[in-house]
Amino acid sequence: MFPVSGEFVLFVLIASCIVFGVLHFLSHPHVVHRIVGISLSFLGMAGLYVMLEATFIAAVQVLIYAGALSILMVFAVMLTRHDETDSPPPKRWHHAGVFLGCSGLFFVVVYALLARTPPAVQPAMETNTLQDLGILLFSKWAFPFELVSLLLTVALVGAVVIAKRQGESS
Amino acid sequence: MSSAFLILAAFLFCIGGYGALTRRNAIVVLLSIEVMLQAVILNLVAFSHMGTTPSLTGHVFSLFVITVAAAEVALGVALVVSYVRKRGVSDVTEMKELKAP
Repeated sequence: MFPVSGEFVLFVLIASCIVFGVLHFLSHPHVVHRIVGISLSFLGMAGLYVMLEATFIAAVQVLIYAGALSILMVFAVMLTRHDETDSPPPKRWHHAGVFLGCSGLFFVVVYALLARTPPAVQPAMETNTLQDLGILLFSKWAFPFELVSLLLTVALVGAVVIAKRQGESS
Repeated sequence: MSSAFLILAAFLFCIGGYGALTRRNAIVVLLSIEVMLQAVILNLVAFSHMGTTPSLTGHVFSLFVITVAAAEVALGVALVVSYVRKRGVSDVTEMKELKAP
């Protein structure tokens, strides 16, 4: 079904790293180990972006996800307590229902993907440099870019407000 | 080859949804939502490289999604830490102050 080439072997290696990291994230009992697992899968995603010739996205992925977000999550784990020993047992029926729903969605999507006919001739991207990306970002998508910067400002102010209220109450 | 990327993205999305709906630690739920967003970004980049009309617009939208996800997770972690300081629980099934009696 898939051509066995060097690219495909590399994809299988990186994808197995990602899947291992995500399964480790979902199954390990210790929270810090979970964050290590998901950092591995974030790094693997950066490798996939390099394979897809999106090097700037890969750099942003390493900076934001594998760097900042993992550290932020480790700090959040340190600031919250995780000593609930008398937690109630998990709801088996709820888990089974969610598992059935998610696996059903997965198989429907995979069936639809395998049933489609891929385009015969694969056109190549005309230009794919960082300069083109910057020009596109500041000409065609300038207004959404400014909206995103406004959203970041609002998120920053919101985080400051939450932290300040917490300091006053304690 | 593009089907492989899309199948991996579908797997990541489904397993992120499973984690977000079954896990009870609030931080783990936030990270599961990040896994789902990663699947979306992988789809965008894959289609921008090997879709019917490849272009850089997929990269631009990936950057937007990454920015929104970063803002969302920063606010989410601030809220979770504030809640745990106030109530002492990080279990999402215990957070029912707004539930109707």
